[in-house]
Amino acid sequence: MKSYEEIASEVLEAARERRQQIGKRRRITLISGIAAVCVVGIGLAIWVGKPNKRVETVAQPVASVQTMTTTVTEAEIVPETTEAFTMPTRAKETRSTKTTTTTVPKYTRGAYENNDYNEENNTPVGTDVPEPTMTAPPAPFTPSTTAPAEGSTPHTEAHVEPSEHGQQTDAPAVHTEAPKPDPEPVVTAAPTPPPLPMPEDDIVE
Amino acid sequence: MECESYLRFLEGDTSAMQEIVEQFWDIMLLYVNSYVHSIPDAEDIAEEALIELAAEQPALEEESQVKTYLMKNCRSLAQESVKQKLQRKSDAEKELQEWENNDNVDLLMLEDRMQLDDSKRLLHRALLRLSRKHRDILYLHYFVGLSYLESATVLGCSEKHAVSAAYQARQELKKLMEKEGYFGEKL
Repeated sequence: MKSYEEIASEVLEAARERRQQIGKRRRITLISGIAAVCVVGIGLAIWVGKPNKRVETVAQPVASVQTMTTTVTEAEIVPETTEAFTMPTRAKETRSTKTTTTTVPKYTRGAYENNDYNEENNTPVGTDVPEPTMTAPPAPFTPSTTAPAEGSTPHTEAHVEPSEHGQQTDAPAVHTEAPKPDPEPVVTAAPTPPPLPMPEDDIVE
Repeated sequence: MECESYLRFLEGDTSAMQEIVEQFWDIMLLYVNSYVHSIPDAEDIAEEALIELAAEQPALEEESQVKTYLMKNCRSLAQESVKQKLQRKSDAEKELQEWENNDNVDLLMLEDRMQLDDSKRLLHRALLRLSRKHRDILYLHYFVGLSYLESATVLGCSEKHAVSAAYQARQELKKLMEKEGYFGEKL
């Protein structure tokens, strides 16, 4: 068993160390509390003292987003996507060729059957006798229809073209049709030649 | 009654600590020993209770207040120690067997130092056989010298409950001592 003196000295020494620990803890909690209060106070001062800043901070991201969009659309994306966009334009060109080929197939098909197809211009080389005769009958009917109805010019063009192509074997699709009747291309070429003979017949009669 | 030694310690007199130890040490040891059944363990726990008193330095003036504060700390520390011992059940059982054989030399030395007479020694040994609830109130009231109110403060119950517990403890103790052939008049 320990003596009272030993116990008293041990108790005092241990109590001193513990008080130091307690003091350190209190200091740490005090400093951390003061720091937390300071941070909160500074934050509140900034928040209360400068209310317009908040609007700017809201507006800035929007402006930055706009600049981002402009820079992206004008500078970065377009050059990269030009290749991707050229593909649809090519597709449009093929569509336009298809629209022309809607009138052409009669030539191409006949030329293909006769093995007279020119691969460079996509036009028939030789002339086909039966196909112009098949396309010829619509030509006389068109004047009667074109005389009253002026808005049906595209149909007349479509019907007239084959007959002319049947006669002009070397012409490429639409543009080659125009030179024969008139120097100007499609619009004046088709309607003008047929109506001319028909009124003369009516007048003669 | 003011506790002059503790008041001097609060003023900065470190030599007053020895007086505090002399005043309360044996009582604390006896009380803690009823929990842990080991004088060395009881010494550690009593010392820890004194360290808490010296470190925290609560504002106490009366001697009973200081005693109550120390006993309360001793009880909570002793209960923690008992819990830890119960986890090592085999060791605790061995210590209990040693305790029941009454071969504990330190306890005999403590009883000698406290100058307990034969009747009080017999009472002390009989108290160790009581249930913990009854043992606590009798220890605090008869050995430590606390009032029922102060004992209730240490035990964490009401004064009424402490009084009824003391009565039941006395009845149980009387039966035990009668079984052993002791018929005391002051029980």
